[in-house]
Amino acid sequence: MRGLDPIDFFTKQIQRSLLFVLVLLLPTSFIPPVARADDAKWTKIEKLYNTYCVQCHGIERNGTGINSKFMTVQPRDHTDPKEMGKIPDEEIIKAITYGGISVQKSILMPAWGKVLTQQEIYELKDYLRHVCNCGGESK
Amino acid sequence: MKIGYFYFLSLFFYLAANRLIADDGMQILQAQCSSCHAITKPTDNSLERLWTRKGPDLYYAGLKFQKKWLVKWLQQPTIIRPAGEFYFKHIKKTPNGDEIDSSSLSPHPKLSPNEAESVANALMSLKPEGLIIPGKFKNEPVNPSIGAMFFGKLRGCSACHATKEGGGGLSGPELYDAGDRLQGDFIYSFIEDPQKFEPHIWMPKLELAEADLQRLSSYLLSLHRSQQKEGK
Repeated sequence: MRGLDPIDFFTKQIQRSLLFVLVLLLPTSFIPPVARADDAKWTKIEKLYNTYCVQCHGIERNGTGINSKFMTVQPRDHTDPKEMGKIPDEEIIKAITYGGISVQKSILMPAWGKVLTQQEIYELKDYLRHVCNCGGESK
Repeated sequence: MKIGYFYFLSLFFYLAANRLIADDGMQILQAQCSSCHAITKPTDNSLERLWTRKGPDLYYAGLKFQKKWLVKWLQQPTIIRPAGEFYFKHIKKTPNGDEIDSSSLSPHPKLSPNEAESVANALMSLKPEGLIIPGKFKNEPVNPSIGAMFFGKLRGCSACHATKEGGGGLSGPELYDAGDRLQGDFIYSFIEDPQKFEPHIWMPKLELAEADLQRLSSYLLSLHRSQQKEGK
C-alpha cells in the first residue's frame, strides 16, 4: 500500500483550513457595509441618550425611566412608531433644544440646548428615528 | 495689654490647631477619598470621565457644603443619590419599568468623630475661584407653597429631584435637607450653570429668570431634615 505523500497531505490541509475560514467569514459578508457603519454611528449618540435621556425615557427607550413613576405626565415612548411618526423632525429638535413647553408639551421635559451642541441634537433626532423605526410627518 | 496678649495667643493657637486638623484631614482625603472623588479640579472634562468616575467631585466642596452637616454625615453616611453615581450604572430593566439596582450600590465608608472633623475642615478649605459670585444670591424669604410649586409644576425640577420621600425623581440627589447640607450661593450658582461645576452633568442648564433662580434657591435652602421628621 502506497503511503501518503507529505506534500499532498499538507496541501490538502491548507485547502481545508482556507475553506473553514471562508465558511466562518461567509455570514459577515452578508451584512451590508452600511449597517455596520450604522452601528458605529449610533455608538456615540447612544452614549448621549444614555447619559441624558434614559433617566426619564428608560433603558428600553419606551418612557419607563426611573424618574417616570413620579411624573404627572409620562415621558414619550420613543419606540412607538405610530406616535413618534406623527412628530415632525423640526418638533423633535425644538423639544430637545428648548424643552417640552416649547412644543406645548410638559415642563418636565427640560431644555437641553445649553448642554448639547446643535450637531448632537440633530444626531439625537436621527437616533430617535432609528429607535422608532419611523419617519416623521412633515408640517 | 495682658488681656490683649492673651487673646492674641488664644487666636494663634486656635488657628494653628485648625490648620493642623485640616492638614490631617487633607492626608485622609488624599489617602482614602481621592480614588473615588476628585479633590483637585479634573483636567479631563470629557463625557467619558463622567462615566468612569466613582463618586461626585469634591474639588469645590468648600463652596458647596455646610461644615456641620459634613461632620455629621461623614460619621453616619446616608444615601443622597438614590440611584448612585452615576445613575445609569445602577438601574435595571423590570416589567414595571426601570428600577434602582440596590445590589450595585456600595455604602459610603464611615469616619470616626475626629476623622470626620479633620476631613470636614479639609473639605471646607477647597474653594476654587470663579465658580460662584458671592452675594448674587439674595436669600430672600419665599412662601414654601410658592417655592414648592415652582420646584414642581412650574419649572419641573421634581422630575429628577425629590424634596420629600416619594416626592420626585431618583436620578438627581435628594434635596430633603438641602438647607442643612448646602450653601445658598452654591445652590444658586449650580442651578444657574451645572456644567460649569461638572462638565456634561445630566442636569439641564435652564434659562431661568433671575426671580425664579432666587426663588428656587431660597426654597431649597429652606428645606431641613427636621421638617421631614415633623412630616411637613
